[in-house]
Amino acid sequence: MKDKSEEILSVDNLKLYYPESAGLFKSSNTIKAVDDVSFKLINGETLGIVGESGSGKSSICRLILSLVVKTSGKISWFGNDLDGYTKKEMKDFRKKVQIIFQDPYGSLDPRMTIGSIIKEPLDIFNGQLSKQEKEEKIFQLMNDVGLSNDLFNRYPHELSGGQCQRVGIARALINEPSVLICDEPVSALDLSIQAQILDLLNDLKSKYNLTLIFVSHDLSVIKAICDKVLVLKHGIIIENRNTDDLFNNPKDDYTKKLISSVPSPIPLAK
Amino acid sequence: MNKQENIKAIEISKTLKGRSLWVDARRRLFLNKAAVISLFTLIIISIVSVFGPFFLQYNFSDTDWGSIYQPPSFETGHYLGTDGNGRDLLVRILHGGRLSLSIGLIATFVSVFIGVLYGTIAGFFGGKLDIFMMRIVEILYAMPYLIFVIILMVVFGRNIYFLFIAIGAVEWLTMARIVRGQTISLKEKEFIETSKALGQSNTLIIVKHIIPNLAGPIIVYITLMVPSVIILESFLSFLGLGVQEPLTSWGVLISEGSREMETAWWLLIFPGSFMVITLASLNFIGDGLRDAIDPKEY
Amino acid sequence: MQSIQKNIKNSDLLLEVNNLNVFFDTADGKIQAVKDVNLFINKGECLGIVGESGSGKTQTFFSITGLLSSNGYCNGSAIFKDFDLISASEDKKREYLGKSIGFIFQDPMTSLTPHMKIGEQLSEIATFHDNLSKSEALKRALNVLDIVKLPKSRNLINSYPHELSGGMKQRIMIAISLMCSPELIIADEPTTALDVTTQSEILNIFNDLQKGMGISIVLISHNIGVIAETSDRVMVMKGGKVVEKGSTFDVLTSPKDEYTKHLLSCIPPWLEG
Ligand SMILES: Nc1ncnc2c1ncn2[C@@H]1O[C@H](COP(=O)(O)OP(=O)(O)OP(=O)(O)O)[C@@H](O)[C@H]1O
Ligand SMILES: Nc1ncnc2c1ncn2[C@@H]1O[C@H](COP(=O)(O)OP(=O)(O)OP(=O)(O)O)[C@@H](O)[C@H]1O
Ligand SMILES: [Mg+2]
Ligand SMILES: [Mg+2]
Repeated sequence: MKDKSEEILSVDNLKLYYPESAGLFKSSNTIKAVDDVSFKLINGETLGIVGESGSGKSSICRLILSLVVKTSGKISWFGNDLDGYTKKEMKDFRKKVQIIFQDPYGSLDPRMTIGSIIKEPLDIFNGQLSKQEKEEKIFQLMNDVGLSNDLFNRYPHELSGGQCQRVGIARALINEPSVLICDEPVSALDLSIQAQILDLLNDLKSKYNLTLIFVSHDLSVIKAICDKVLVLKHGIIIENRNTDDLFNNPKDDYTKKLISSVPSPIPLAK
Repeated sequence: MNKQENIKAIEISKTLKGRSLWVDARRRLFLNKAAVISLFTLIIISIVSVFGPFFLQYNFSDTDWGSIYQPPSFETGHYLGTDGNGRDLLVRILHGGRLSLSIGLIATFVSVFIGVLYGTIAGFFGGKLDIFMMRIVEILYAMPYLIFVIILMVVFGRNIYFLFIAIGAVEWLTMARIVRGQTISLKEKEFIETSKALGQSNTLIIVKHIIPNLAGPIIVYITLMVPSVIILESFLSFLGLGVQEPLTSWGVLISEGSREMETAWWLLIFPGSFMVITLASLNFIGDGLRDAIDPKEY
Repeated sequence: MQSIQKNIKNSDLLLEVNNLNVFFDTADGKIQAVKDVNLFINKGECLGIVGESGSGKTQTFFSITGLLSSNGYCNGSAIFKDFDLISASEDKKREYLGKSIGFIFQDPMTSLTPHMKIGEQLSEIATFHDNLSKSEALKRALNVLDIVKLPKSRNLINSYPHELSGGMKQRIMIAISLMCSPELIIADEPTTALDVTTQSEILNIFNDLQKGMGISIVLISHNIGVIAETSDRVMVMKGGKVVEKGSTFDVLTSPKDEYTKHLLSCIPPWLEG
């Protein structure tokens, strides 16, 4: 049905620099959050991004969705430069590309109930659905991500960290996006629910060819779900390889250190 | 998801009722006794002010030289006494209530509406638009409003509606500034960014996310603004720019009453009590609303 | 058996929690988030806590430190060095919190004040509890930022929270808990936003604090590897209850409870090999 090797998103020489905030005097230093990054996203594949804390992973996610203004570079969606997009085209783009933010609690409006938070994307793009149909969809998805129904009328501050994170996941999935950008989507979940979410994502991948960008510090999750991995350091891509390749023979020193630093779940006898 | 679960989800969606912030807020407001009693009081005062004068035997402008400065008494029918012109105080208070309440509430709500809209737009879009819009506010601030009112009166003649306009024109400025500041800090919050990423339009981001999150400070400011509007009105009237005799308002009654306090205490105490009760009720309603609208309050 | 053990170590006991229950009033009625939890922590010991998401791990320690949100209340006792934290007055609690008990919140992004520079947020707590002067506090702040491996090259003292990445904010939270020398650190998912190399550095810091300075640590984490490397004892929670507790080695190698078994079965096989 779909061309497997079709390139849907390409990022060329992307840069994002911030001026460093200083005390009294303006300092002339710049923070290179993202420095000359290029990669391509193929339809249906899962691209992992790993790297040091502060290496620019979240910044790349924000840049793709034009939530921050890039310093330079090009992002194209099916070959069309996003810069030339009209408001309507941008809205269309955002319907197809959804994001789960790194901060589970901060990305939920404190004055909205969980139900209306998950419903928001439906109101934006699927206004023609009846209230009943919308609620059915919401309950289905809450069920899929393991949220019990009695959380429907709660507010974000009444939820645990992991529950908030799952609300974010449900919201991102409700309009069946074709690309999902996940910034640490399972960091607050226990292993069993983590596995449930990864299964769900795998399901969606096989069902409607969902393409994923998956940022995570958890290498076991990356290994389980990604086809390709970018390793980032100081805003620069230092490796861009197939997952198995990367794990079996890491080339860069940093990557090697990364893989060897994974804490082992086998306790030492004390 | 398998079929069985699917059916379950459909069933639950039939039985479970979704609520919004506003439904929750209404429920919480009605659980707050002080707010409910105050709301009730305020409604009664308004109804009595509007309809009360029809049921009283005296008219607000009838002078009776035979009974000036009469203390409150049931025999004469001057339940709250009379003033220096022999006019019945009760009917004058009720009449003044019409004006004070409508100025207090209407002028406040109009200026809050304009101020909130103006402030959120300036704060949310920022940049040049923000600078331009805030310059206008500063210019208006710098303009002495008394001169503004006098010009209006001179050009259009004396008219009670200009009182509303004049007061509204002054009061929205502060609201706009407060709201703009709050909007700028809210805008940085991640959930606003999220909403943008979802594809939400700017208008709806303002309506659905920014304004509900500003509700707390807005309500606090409203409860401060109503009394200041009522006082501003009496000041304008005192200068001869507001309501004119024989029409009256609470502010006017109180300022007249305070001059004759030693000879006729009732002229200050009764209009004063009406005003105090109203303002206290507004305060409780404001507090109740603010808590009700904050999901973190229980 | 357990009580005997406890008596022997009694002099080392730092915190003992008995029959702790936590309730919340919600619009749909009252719910119980924590059900009859008992635990103890000795001086210089690390207690690991794992469990289902939403099982009450965070709320257990919120109730002890008086951080429950306004619709929550709790009963039971939490004796911290002969002093019941639960029945204590707010003022008294505040004296302990921050000074003797450091709390690293699960959600670093919203626990930092948005319009305050990092330097001020760090030094504030030291000027409050230890009566340090501004410049002394700032010096200590720089020192602490160094401990949590934040890059020296950045002028972090003058940055605002939104200018930092998730992991940087998380390390700021850890730094805040180290500003006054605490006796107990409650670390609620302290390393979720950190890459594994930084994570192992932070875990080393925890080990140093514990072994070198005798600070006790409560480590809440979903990462079994993190728990295995750091904690002496583990407690497993599900649905508000403690379903299993014991030494880390025993619980992780021969779990008794069904849920623990299930949880451990979810560990990806390549990690174990
Ligand atoms: N608004 C901003 N102003 C200044 N610097 C910023 C801003 N936003 C991000 N940065 C800087 O950009 C760099 C990259 O941040 P980013 O959030 O992309 O990191 P990350 O890879 O997601 O890290 P983590 O894994 O810790 O979340 C960091 O050094 C951060 O301090
Ligand atoms: N203010 C509140 N009002 C009502 N329920 C609450 C409130 N705070 C927490 N809860 C509920 O209490 C339960 C326990 O929450 P807690 O935050 O302790 O979970 P947790 O074990 O820390 O989970 P996670 O690993 O996901 O952070 C959850 O089901 C949550 O929904
Ligand atoms: Mg990040
Ligand atoms: Mg928690």
